[in-house]
Amino acid sequence: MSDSKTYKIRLEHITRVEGHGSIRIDTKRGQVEEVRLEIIEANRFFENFVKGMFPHEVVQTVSRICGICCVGHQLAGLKAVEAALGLTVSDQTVRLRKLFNESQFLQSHTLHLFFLALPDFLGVPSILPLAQKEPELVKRALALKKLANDYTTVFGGRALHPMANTVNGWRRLPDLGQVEGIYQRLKGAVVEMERMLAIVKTLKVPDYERETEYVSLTHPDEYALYDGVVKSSDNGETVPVQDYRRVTNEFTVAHSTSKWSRWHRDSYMVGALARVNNNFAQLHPRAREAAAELGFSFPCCNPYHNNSAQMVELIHCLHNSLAGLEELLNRGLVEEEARYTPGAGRGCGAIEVPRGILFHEYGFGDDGRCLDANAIIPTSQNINNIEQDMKAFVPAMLPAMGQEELALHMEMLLRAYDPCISCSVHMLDVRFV
Amino acid sequence: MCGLSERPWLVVAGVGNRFRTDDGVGTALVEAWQGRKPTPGVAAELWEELDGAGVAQRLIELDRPVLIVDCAELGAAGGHCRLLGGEELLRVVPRNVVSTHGFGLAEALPLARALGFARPLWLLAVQPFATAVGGALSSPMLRALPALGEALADAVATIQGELGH
Repeated sequence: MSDSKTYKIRLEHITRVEGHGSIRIDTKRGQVEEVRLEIIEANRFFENFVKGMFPHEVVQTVSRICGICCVGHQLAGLKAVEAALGLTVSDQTVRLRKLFNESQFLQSHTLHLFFLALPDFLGVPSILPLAQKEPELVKRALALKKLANDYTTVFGGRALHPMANTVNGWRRLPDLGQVEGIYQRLKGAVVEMERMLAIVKTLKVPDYERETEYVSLTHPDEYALYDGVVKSSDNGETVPVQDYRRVTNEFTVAHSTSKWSRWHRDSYMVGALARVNNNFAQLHPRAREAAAELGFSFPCCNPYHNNSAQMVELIHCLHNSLAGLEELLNRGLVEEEARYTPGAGRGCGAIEVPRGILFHEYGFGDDGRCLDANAIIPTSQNINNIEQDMKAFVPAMLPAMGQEELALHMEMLLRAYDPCISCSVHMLDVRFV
Repeated sequence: MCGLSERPWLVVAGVGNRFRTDDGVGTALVEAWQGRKPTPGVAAELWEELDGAGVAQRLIELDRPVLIVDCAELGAAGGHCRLLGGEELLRVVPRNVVSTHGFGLAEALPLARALGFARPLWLLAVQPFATAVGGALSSPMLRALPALGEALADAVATIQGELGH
């Protein structure tokens, strides 16, 4: 190996991800000395903010953890507080929440795939030069994102930190005229989505594989995005949501303000690729066809294909939403009272959000106020796996790649996971003795 | 303000977060302006919920001349405002965007231009006194609001002259 392969790669504040992280790679005469993904965000303290709040206040507050996954944090919080209070929500509420969640997938995957990831594949540094190079493509992506935001608004009252959804039901049901409008626009978007698929099919995905453990929700009756039990690809083991700590096994490392997770092996992956790997057969038929057209088979162990899996899920969510909205329009909506009585209890909730499985847990005292909270978000589960990918990728590719190419591939790898680093830094449970 | 059937010759858009003290001055000014005697052919919008990509998308959809009213760091005294347009507005340089959380107006305007938004665009920029989280407009900004309202009306009149309406 060449002596010239002595690199000090410092990628400070990686762009086009949510939040702040840095990559550090040191090689000496062709040997890898250090590969680290440093997470440098400050802790967020949301788990402390909600102490003393009533359940309906908790779920509105935790929605603020993330501007991209605000719907998911609200839904996970709702499921957790409803479990704590022993509430079983109506079938109508579940159906509406599932559609609400899919609206967020459409928005978030569009944003990540076409605004954050695509510039790498098309050889431009950001969305601004991409807009100059491929204006029609960016216009289509903007239009899809706006449609998804409007879809969220119809259900939640607004696209960011929606207010219509609450404990045990809805403060305000969606207007069926607006639902019809979204349904028609989503029907029109089927052709646009196929055009986007055609673009994604042309992208050259780096050829790299590392087998890891894939963790997601799974459900016997559907492609699990809203409900289910936790599944590992390693042995097919399933774990009830309330036992989530058996899955996440959080621990700390010195170079990350985000906690790390591991289950059956050193690290595991959550997100689109994990879901598609674990639940491929339950995808919408057109989404399964799209996966084949994208040229990868399942299980897929190439983390760069998380982008492709997001494209597959975009198609799944579009078609699934159309079916769900049509059913909603045929069935109509019934006003239901969304009341509850605060009280003591403890409960957990889990939901799939675009970046992977999200866990929330809350304890409430006799006065109905929150005593403690825990939120484990997908990126904090993925950070460890990303670093393990980097540690395997760098020595494998070092003989063939120069410094710039290696650095680009590390950035692309991190971006492929669609990390939300800001949200990953939840509070450390420090006990002084 | 124009009727629904009429294409406005100008859209005045308020940008800002009303829960972040003077960051909300753009929305406060446009809201107050909406309550005044309407200017024929001028529409007003509040862009409180739009992120940078949403602003670019909205500009393209509107395809009309737009005056954006927003809080901005001008290096001036609090409550000072400036109307920026044309070449001057092009000098609003995008920052080094480290995440989509940082994708704001400075990025939205060149994105809209790159995507074909070719209409005239102005920014009425207002220097804040404070931008702390969790409060309404600062007391000095509240006192400055009537004068800023007049500045907004003057800006619309100036633009009206420039556009020949």
